[in-house]
Amino acid sequence: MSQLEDLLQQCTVKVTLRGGWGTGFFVAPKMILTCAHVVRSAGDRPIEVWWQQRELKATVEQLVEAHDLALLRVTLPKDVNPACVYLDAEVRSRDPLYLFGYPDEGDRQGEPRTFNCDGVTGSGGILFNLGQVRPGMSGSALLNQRTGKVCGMVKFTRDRSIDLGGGGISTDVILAQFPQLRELQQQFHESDDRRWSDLVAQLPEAQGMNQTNFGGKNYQTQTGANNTNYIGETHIYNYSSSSPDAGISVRAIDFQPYLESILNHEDYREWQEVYTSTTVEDRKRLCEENLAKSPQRKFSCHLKLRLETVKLSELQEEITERQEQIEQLDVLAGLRKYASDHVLLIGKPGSGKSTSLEWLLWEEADQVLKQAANVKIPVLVKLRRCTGTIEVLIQDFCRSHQLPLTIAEIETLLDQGKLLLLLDGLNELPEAFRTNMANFRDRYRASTPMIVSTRELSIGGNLNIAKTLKMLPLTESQMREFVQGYLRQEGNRLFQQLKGDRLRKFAETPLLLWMLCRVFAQNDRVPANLGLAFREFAQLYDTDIQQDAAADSREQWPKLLRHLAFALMHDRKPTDFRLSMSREEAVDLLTACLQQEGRANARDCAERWLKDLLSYHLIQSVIQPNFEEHIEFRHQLIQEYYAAEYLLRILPTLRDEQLKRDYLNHLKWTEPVALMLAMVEEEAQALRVVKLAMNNVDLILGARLAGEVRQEFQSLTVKAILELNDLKTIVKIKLLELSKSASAIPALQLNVNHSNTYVCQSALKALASIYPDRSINIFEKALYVDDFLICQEAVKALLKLSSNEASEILNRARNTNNLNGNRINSAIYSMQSQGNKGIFLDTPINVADWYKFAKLNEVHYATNQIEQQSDNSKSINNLFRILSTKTALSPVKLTSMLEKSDGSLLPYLITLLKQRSAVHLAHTISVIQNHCKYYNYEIAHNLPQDRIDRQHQPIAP
Amino acid sequence: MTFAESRRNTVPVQLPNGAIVKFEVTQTGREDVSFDPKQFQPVADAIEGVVQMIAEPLNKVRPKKASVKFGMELAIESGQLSAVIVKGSGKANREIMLEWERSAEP
Repeated sequence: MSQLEDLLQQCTVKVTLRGGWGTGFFVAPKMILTCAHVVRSAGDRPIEVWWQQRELKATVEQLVEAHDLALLRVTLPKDVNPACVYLDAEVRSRDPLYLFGYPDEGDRQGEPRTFNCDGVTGSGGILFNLGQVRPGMSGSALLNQRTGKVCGMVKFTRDRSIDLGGGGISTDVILAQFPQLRELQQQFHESDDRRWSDLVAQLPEAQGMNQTNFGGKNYQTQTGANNTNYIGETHIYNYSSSSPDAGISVRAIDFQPYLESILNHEDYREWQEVYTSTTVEDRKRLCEENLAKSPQRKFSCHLKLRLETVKLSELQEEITERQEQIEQLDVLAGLRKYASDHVLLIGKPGSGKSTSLEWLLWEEADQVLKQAANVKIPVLVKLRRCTGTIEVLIQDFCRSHQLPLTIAEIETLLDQGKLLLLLDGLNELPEAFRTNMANFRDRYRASTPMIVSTRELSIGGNLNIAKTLKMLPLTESQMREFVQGYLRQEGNRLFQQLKGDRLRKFAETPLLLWMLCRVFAQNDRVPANLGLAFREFAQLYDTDIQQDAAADSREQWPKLLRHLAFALMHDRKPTDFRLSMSREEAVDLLTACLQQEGRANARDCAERWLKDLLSYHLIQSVIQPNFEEHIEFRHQLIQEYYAAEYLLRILPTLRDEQLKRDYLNHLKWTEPVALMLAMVEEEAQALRVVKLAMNNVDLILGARLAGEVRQEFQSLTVKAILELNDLKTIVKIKLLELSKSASAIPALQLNVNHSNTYVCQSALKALASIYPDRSINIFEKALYVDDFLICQEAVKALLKLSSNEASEILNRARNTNNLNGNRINSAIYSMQSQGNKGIFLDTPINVADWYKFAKLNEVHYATNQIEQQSDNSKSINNLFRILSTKTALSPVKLTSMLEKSDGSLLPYLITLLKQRSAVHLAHTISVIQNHCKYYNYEIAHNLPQDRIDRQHQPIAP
Repeated sequence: MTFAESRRNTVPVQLPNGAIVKFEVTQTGREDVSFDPKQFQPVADAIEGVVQMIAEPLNKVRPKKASVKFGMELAIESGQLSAVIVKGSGKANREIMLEWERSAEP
């Protein structure tokens, strides 16, 4: 126990400001928790925090006055690694409590106190007695010595001069206010620093306790109870049960009309058509309709979107990177696979996230109707519409599909895990509701599965959802399929034009490809860059598609849309933007800008044209839940395009400072600025923006923008990257990679022969991501370099190309029968086992051959690979034969792998056990025997002794 | 309270001019326990209020001469210094004496 007390002291800090002080403690590596009243007077000023006689600086991150809680973020010098307390809400009367704090009298270096717990008050506070609480102890952690974890934080004394004790805030309340701490705590105590959890495990009380129960409330048992409650209940349409906790009885809810309404709704109808159209004829007819009748038709009905799972710990060393497993899946299969958990679906704008969710909604609804049993009811929620709680959004959606529910009913359904929530557009969720959303997720974490979609690297965070799925860009064959599906014979011609450079950019997202097809269908040629593509698309809309609109109104459209988009990019906070505005505001805005032009009857015109825009153009109106009419762009990308057009026009008038502060520095402007750069025709302006971004704002932003300017300016912007001072080569290579500019290729190719392996590796990686077909002979040369990392990177690049030429090169290299031939084989093998099958091989891979020549560290890699393959018993046997000659390999690892192999290895293992007294094999042998269900291979397979000996001769090194 | 002598504490109090003085207080009770010098202002406000209250009837009656004496203790309540009017001067640790004298009629 005293070890725990020591550890608690190491987590404790003294929080001082202007003559006063309090106590605080680390709850996560850079987070300190204390009482709000301790730091109330600090405001935005930095706070001095004393930890082990060292002064640290902290700022208030979050203040919850209602519960007297404050979370501080502290800057730690490199050599300071404080421990964090283990939070757990478990506390009951007569628990012994211990604290370490900084009272106003006594030892200046802090004093301990012990108390006897009274229990928990009505509103969740903790009371304790038999100890003196002095001023200065506010914010001390209350260690529950029974559980070994911190159950609360000191807030007040009952009397400062005697041992009447005092009161505190319970961990329950703390975690409810700062739900992000749950994840941080789990991360810290399960992997970063196990000191505290190890000590807890030694406590007698802890032996029977659930170790994974982070965050106090006993979620696991709670859901366990829920499950047993509803097991056996298979009738989903008509159940009525009362929730024991809530005490609200639920009326029988009939989901049938709801599900049918979803299946027949015009927005999702399309999936039915995809789903049922089996003949080619059908599909063609659909395409014709698509072109002719409904211009707003969704675009990806012909696409099998794919995605990959990503581990969040991507920032690992280069060496471990190749062990990271990436799984590629069809999007629906992927979402289903993880739907029982919480999943984050990440993708570029327009990559088909919303479409995938709608598709899933439709299919799930269909399934529930067909199978009836034990399938959760899908609910799709557009987070951008949020104006209150998530429950209200669910209610709205259900009501719009003929299922009126009360909030209490929805809460019960959520508690019981009856729903599958599809939450679309976390990045579009209004700032004010972020905490609300996080709490909502936390509340129903255990019971209700949720799939949340968000933009890549976007504002809005990730809700700490660990399971992440990423939308993949389309492959060439998918694009071809789509283009042909859309334009048929014409499609081939478009595809020819697309070949090469320009293809990649457009191909990234289905939305862009769809747009391109439409532009092509109209104009017969491919636009030069993304900005121009949008421009042509918008013009197409203006002139040809909406021919029945009045001419005077049409002329005004682009201007009006620019103004609207630009206004939407601003919100109360400079970092925020909006996705919709009220109709009145839009009219006011347009009136103002028409008046400026000196137009008479401006308001009339504004109203009329806005109406025209709504019926013909790229904006639409949405009714907010409070029945206010808002207007919004049909897609965020379109809004960004018009904002870019606006910015393009004001660019020459912007001063450098203004450009940096108001535009480049804000994440919300990155996409519009990138679009705008593609349309800037003046070299000096383009270069100015890029240089400002790179030198004064952010390197990575600058690199990205360098690749966004017009093709002919890119050699200059790339030069600007290369001329950056004080940067290591490897960083520059990374920046070049990020620029995705063709002009970066020559510079990258120069670095392929660099003396540092990692520089070469990253140069190859960069080349593989920028028009890899241009560097194909570079990759070929790299295949013959005597270095595993370089060789592997080249293999990856060639596999990614997946062209015939790449196949030939790989086949040629792997058949040269040298050391690298085997390395290449192994690299291909490991890539293919991860689902990357983009290449045709002329001979099958014999993995075992590779091990004969491999160096020891490569063998380690190979063993890891094989370990993940698990059932490839042939390669395990082969591997074992080689490994037995390489003594340095860990016997423990080896034996654990061998346990998976089949009985044919037994005779050899037994010989080995006898001859080399390799005792660790005894266990392996018995495990193999166990799963083979015989002792002796020879007897079981009736083999003559000499054949077995031959079969298992060790190979000479 | 049955203690022979009530418990006495000293608390640091910051005066309006910034100086810190320790005051003896008799009663504390429930208070938030961050350590910071208490402000004297609430007590000053209380005294002002009490004096005004006493002065009002006197101004009406306008006696020739009047004197009022009351005792006061300091206490900590909800973390703030506050004044407690007490009876009997033996217990009080601050005594406030007010005297009025009507100026001669013109």
